[in-house]
Amino acid sequence: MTLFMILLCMTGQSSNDEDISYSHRFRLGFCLTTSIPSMQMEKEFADLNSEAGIGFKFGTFAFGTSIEILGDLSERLRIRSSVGVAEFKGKYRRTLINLDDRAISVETQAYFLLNRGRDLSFSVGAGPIYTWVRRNVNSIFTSQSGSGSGFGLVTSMRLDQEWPWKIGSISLFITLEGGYKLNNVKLDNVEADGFEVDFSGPFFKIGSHIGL
Amino acid sequence: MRILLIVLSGLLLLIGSCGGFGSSLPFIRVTGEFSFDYALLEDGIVDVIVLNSYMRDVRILISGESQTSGSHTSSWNLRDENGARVPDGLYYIRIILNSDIIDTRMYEVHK
Repeated sequence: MTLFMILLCMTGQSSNDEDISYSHRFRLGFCLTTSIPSMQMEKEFADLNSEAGIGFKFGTFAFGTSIEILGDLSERLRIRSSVGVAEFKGKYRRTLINLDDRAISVETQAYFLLNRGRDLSFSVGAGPIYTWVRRNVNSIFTSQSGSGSGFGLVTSMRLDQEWPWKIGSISLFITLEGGYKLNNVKLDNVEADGFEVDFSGPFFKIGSHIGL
Repeated sequence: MRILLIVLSGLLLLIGSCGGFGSSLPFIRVTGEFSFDYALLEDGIVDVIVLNSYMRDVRILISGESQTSGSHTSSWNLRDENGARVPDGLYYIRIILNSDIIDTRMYEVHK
């Protein structure tokens, strides 16, 4: 949050309609994301293993990547569409028991640019997310898998570089984004009986985009 | 040579009495029906439930049965409540006495 506010103070200049021409109306980018997912039922699964005398090591963070496209509909309105993957892991003694939760998500988000300067812009946004989830529990001789999909919601604050770095003819922009996802998916397989893989939680993203 | 064979046999017997080479594993591997023992420190109402790795009840082996303190034996034929063989995977047998979980065992079921 402090980083956002410091960078926001650097955007002193107010924008006008002519200024939008240099910031590229469309951008294509690649992002790295880290999040702290809720995973409430996975925590209960870890407790069950503890009951059985097994110390199941759980990760705290989920890590992911995404490809996104940004488009400016107006001076103050920006939209984003992206496809991303995320992964969350748990394990006991490296290979004896492994838990692997994976998600593929498609997101669309609309942002309102609260502050748009020559160098940086600050925006807030929200939008729907659709996620496909797969849960794998692997032991030495067995592998159990379950899958499901569902809708969720993402809200965030975003800091975008507006004056690009030039690498030859390529315009490069950097992005920072932080927010919260509501992203809880029930597994469909019969054995799961409504087991939920919950990727909901705060996230932080850093990305680089090229101007189109 | 004969002495070496005797020593090796003794070692194998010792390992076998400890539960085999798999004794260091956190779970017991099973491929068919098996029995297991459990001990009760006091008299009470006992439930023995099999759960899968989604923490869902797969089979209720004992439900609300009054048992005395001491050693008891139960068994599971790797079938669910509908009589179907359960899929391969990790399963947990939970022993409950008077609504308190007193023991949980982990099994790796495979063909």
